[in-house]
Amino acid sequence: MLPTVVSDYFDRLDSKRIRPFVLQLDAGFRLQESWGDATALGLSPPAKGSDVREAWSFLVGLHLTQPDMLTNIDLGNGHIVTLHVLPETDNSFYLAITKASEQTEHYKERQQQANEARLLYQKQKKLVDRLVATTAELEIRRHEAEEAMRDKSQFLASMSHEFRTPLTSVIGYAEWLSNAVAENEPAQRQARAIVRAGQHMVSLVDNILEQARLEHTEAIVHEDHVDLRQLAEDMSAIMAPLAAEKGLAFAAFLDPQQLQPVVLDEMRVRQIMINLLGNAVKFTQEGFVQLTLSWTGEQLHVEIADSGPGIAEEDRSRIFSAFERLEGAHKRAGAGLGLHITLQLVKLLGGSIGLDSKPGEGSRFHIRLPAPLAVEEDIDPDSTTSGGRLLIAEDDPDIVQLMELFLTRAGYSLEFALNGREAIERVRDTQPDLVILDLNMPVMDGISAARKLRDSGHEGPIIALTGATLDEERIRAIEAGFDGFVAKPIRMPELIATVRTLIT
Amino acid sequence: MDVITRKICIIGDFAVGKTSTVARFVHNVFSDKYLTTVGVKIDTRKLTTTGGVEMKMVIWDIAGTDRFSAVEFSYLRGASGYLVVADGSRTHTLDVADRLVAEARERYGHVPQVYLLNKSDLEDEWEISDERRAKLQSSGEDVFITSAKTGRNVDEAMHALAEMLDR
Repeated sequence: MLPTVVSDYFDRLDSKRIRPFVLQLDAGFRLQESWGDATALGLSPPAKGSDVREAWSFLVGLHLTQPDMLTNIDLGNGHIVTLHVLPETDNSFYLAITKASEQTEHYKERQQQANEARLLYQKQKKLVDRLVATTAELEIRRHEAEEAMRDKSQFLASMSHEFRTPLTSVIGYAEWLSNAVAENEPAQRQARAIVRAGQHMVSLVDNILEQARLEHTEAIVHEDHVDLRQLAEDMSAIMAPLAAEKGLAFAAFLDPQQLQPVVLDEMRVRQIMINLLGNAVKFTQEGFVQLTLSWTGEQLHVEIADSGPGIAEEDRSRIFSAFERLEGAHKRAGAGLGLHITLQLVKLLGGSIGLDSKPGEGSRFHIRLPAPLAVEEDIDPDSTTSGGRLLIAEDDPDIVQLMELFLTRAGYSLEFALNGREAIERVRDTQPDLVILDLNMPVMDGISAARKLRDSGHEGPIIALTGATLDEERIRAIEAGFDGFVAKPIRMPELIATVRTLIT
Repeated sequence: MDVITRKICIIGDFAVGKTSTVARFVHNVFSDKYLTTVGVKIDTRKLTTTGGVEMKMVIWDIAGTDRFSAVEFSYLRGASGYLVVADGSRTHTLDVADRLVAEARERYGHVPQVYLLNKSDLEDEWEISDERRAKLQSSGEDVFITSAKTGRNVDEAMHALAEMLDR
């Protein structure tokens, strides 16, 4: 029979069916009396008069002086219990121990599921946070890379200008000298050597710029009407002396059936041929280097053959990679960019390139480029014209003088300005037939000047001169109102031809 | 030699590794499987302090929570010390630990305690910064970087708390 305090307590809890194990303790936890079966809870009954905390350490820390109920206590012996503390007097306390309800197991399952779901959510959130952070970091890196790329393009544009402006003078004056000393063969040969060296420097600068352009910007194809005879002659003029210096035979062949101009990006086709011919001359120690141009089915066929060391099968894909140079080639000058750029240029022009080669048996590169026939007016840059009045704004006195030499001979009357602002004033005063503006000038640059001229209602043609070859600058020039564009180093025949197409 | 018995409560957010820490300390075992604790689970282990006192630690492993309810407060009553556990790979569990300590302190006053920053084996996922740990230490707390999985510093943390209780 349970003590009244205890039975009343369980009556109040509406737990009459529960069979608790009940201990009566004094203030020192010494057992006075007990009811029920301790072993049903996996516990050994303590001896009367002993401190129950010594046998049941889970009672350490328990306060007996106030009623309390501690639920869901896993004793570690396979039993989950509830402790009920029921004080009776200052020195008599009842402690009832009951089995936890069956609902505990269900609750545990639900809690397990809930906690697992929360853990999963936290893990997912962590991953999403990490993804967001990584994306933000990537965005910053991309922004930095773009800025670096802009700086690089700007640097290349400036470098290009710095090189091209003096090269215009070098090549232009050497050409002039070469004509002027026509009767003195050794002097003419020396002048032509200066021209070739200058042109070679231009091609080196072009390669570096082209590489940057092809890698990082949308390259634009500039189609011209190209005279294949002139192209073959120019290649011959550049390459034959280089080949001769090494004791190599050089020959350039053009299909005599094809004498009509075709539409091509001339600058890039030249670059392709200079790169391949330059390599052929560089790597061939004896024998020949040969260029063959032919045209069939709206395509230009370029074949460059040499009697050099040849290229092994396994090296063929590698030679078209940037900065890749084959063993044994390390003593040669160059950056290892030539073939890589050549391949990219051929792709840019919509063409294809192939290579036949065996070690010891020379190499033969063959290229096919789309090249429709051009319908062209016959322009002879050397013939004089009825003329016209040209205003030239250029701050470099050497180039001014050079243009004066060529354009005066071509029959034009010239006036000059040193910067964009002066050009605008002179246009207002003298109304020239055509204006040539250098893009890079002090006080006011060519783009600003062209824009102001167009804003003030000037409708006459304007040509841009620039040392930069970046496509963006061409686009800016067109947007500013320019009608033509001539790149430095200025090829005088090209300048004259451009002038003629604009003033007839 | 007399044995002194002390009630210790291990507290912290859910899934920080409280039960695993006790299992490592008492039974020297570890399981990767997460099993939630409902209510409280009691375990004991004896150890000897540097002062030569043999101490029986009765460890109340209280179900993880981010706030104590009346039930958990009833478990804490009469505890001589707390093992405060946070998961080093989840910084917010240290915020929870701090809050639980503050709640317990408000109810029962100051009780000796040590902090366990657990799961140090998850090096790649570790989040709690050295600065945060240093700040905790400079506020006077004993802090252990532990791993119930490898056993790192678990005994050390328990002994540190036992030393505090022996003073």
